Amino acid sequence: MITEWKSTKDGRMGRLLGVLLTVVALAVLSLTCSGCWDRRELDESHHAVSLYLDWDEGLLRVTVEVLSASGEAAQAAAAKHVVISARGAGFADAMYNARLSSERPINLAHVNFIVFGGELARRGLGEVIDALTAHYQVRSHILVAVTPGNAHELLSAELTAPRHAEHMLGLLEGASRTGAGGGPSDLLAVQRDLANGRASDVVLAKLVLLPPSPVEHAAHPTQAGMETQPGAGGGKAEGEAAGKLPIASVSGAALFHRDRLAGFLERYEAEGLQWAMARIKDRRVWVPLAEGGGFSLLVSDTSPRVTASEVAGRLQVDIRVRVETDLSEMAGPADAGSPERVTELEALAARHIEEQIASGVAYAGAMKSDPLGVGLYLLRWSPDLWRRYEPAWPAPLAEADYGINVSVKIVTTGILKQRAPFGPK
Amino acid sequence: MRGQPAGTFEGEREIITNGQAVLVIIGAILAVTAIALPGPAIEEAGNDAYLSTALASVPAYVSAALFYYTGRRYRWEGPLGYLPRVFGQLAGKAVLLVHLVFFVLVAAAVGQEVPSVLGAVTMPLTPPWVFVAATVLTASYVAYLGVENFSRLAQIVLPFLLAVLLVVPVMVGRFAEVGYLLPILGDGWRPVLRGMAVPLAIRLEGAILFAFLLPHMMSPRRALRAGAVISSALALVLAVNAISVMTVFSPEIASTLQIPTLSLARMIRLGAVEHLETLVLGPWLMALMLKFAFYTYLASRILQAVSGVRDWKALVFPIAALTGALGLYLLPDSARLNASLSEVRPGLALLVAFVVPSVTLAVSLIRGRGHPARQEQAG
Repeated sequence: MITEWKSTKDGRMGRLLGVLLTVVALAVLSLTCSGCWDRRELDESHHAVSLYLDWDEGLLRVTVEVLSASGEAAQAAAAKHVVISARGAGFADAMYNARLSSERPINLAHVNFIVFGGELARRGLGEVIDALTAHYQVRSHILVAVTPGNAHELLSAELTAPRHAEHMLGLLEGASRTGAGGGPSDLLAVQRDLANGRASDVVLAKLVLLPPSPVEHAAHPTQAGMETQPGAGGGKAEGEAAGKLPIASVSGAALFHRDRLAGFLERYEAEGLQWAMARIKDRRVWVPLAEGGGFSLLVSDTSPRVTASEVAGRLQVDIRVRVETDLSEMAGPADAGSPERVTELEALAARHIEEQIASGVAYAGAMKSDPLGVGLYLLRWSPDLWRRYEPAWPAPLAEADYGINVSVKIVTTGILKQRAPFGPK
Repeated sequence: MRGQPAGTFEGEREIITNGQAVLVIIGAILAVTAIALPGPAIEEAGNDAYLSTALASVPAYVSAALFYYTGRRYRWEGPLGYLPRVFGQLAGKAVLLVHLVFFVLVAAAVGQEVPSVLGAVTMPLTPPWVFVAATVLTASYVAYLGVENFSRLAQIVLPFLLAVLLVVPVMVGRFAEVGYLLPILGDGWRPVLRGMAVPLAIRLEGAILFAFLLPHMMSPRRALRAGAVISSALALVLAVNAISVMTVFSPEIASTLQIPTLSLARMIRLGAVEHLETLVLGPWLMALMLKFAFYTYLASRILQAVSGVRDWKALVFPIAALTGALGLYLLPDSARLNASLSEVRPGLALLVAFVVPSVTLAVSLIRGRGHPARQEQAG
């Protein structure tokens, strides 16, 4: 039979086989187009927008804020969000338990940010980060932050936008851009810093709950729409009366040593480190004057550079930052009426930023953390030096000499050439 | 064609242009390397892995030259034609069987790449056999239609795949940190050479395909030039790919990724538009089908030459089905698939792409087989 097989050119059987194969191949391929066994309509899933992870009595608690696209919920979407919470031995286990207390599967492909609780961060984020990045739906560019207390308690924060997640995301994006939260804290950055081992440490934005606003709140539509499904850990903080909820805010940064939380930086120190860590845009700096008053600068761009070398047997770390700004406000004796005055303001601003950087660096040294990636610099540019320092790293940083040099350029003085005549001179 | 001795192409020689041959081979290589390659190289060479992926083109080109000079001695017949003439019918067929085993094993691994990737990133609940069945049916039909057919397919698919591979690094450029490439050669050349094992194995597969496409090329005398184009293009594309993966993820993370290039594509974000990795998956899947089809085609031709079956087309579907099933049986999970890529294929590729052609050329020269002068005229 086989030996008498004919080709497509001269045989009917060959042509028939070709048609048959085409039909079968298209039929099988069409199965994969719809997703086969994984096919799921949009309204058949809960779409997670944020994750809150806590260490809860020996287990990992995952609290998921979800949006639902299904009929009823879709109609009330602007005023409703659903919180699902569950514990498990690990991330996948907790997510499975969350699924069991959810009416629909939870899709993590649209998660925008993740918040880690303080206790979990102190125990180490390595395994959780590993599990998150291994999840095929979780994206690497989502923002991450740490809160000193329980992460899920942030869900009880006052909501200034119709959607809680949007509000929180806005906070984190603003903190990331301005450096108020310590740095570009996305999952990828955390992964990369953790993978470097000793050579650099992670700095994440610190999310906190501030005391309730004194303004009385009428029943907020979002607040009214919040619901907690069975097993949920979210909801209002204890003892808080309706209409008086705490305010979520980015306030400083969380400093890590390897994957463990080493301590929290206040906003001043966090911003100090950030000057040296990455480019900053859209930050406002208030420079106080000794005589009283001061002036405000809007930072349009920065260019930081951290280098390290060994000078006379001592580790020398040089931090150079160029800052481009626009002058936006003056108070007291501050004035920008002449080039000389502007130069003076630039020098004052540079000294102010240098002090802020020194403060952040000193705090990081005390925490035995290397957020500036000095080790990474040595690893890349002076491998021999790094081999010597690596075993004790980051302890040598505490004994290093720091040279901090900031140059500030005030590009414009705003709409006015100099201060208007009605202010005090 | 009927009654013609098995293992020759006379009278049924399908002709493709040298450019088409270049595209078929590049497509076959990129089908695997685009998804899996930087990982094993980074494991060995760290941040210098881009040198490993680029330099692997050099020995692959040498292998292609071996095939070229052997083929030139036998009127561009290709291994199917000259192996029985160099070694005799029995030994020649035995060597051809080695090639058959090589193609079937590599195709089995290629077939398993589909469930391994799609199962990991988009469809974890779908059974692997569904992907394999789709691959087998599609690829066997493509192979059934012959070299000219899948050369045309390569002309359609390759520009998309190449564009994707070159555009993705640009689109994720904002995440890249060039510092991850430092220090250059921090541990010397040894890790770079060790890191060449897997890239070289895959590149040598290209040299083997080059040998089997030689008889189909319109201008076989210019085949070495085509080989140089293939080597240069692959060195460039794969070095760019490796640099991009390492600068975005860092070498440490990149070496742990199952599908580095796809992970890279998952980072793309155009405003609110995300999940653009399907743009990579589409051309990659087509290139993978092409590769599976090409290997199935070659396995069918070899089996025909060895067994004496009159029409190789009768063997296409059984071989494709057998190969798919073999993949499901031998490489049922991604761990075994990765192990086969780094542990089995380098040895196999060295055997078929270096040892066999070197011995063939040596025996041919010693025994004075082949007619260089006559075949020059024929070429």
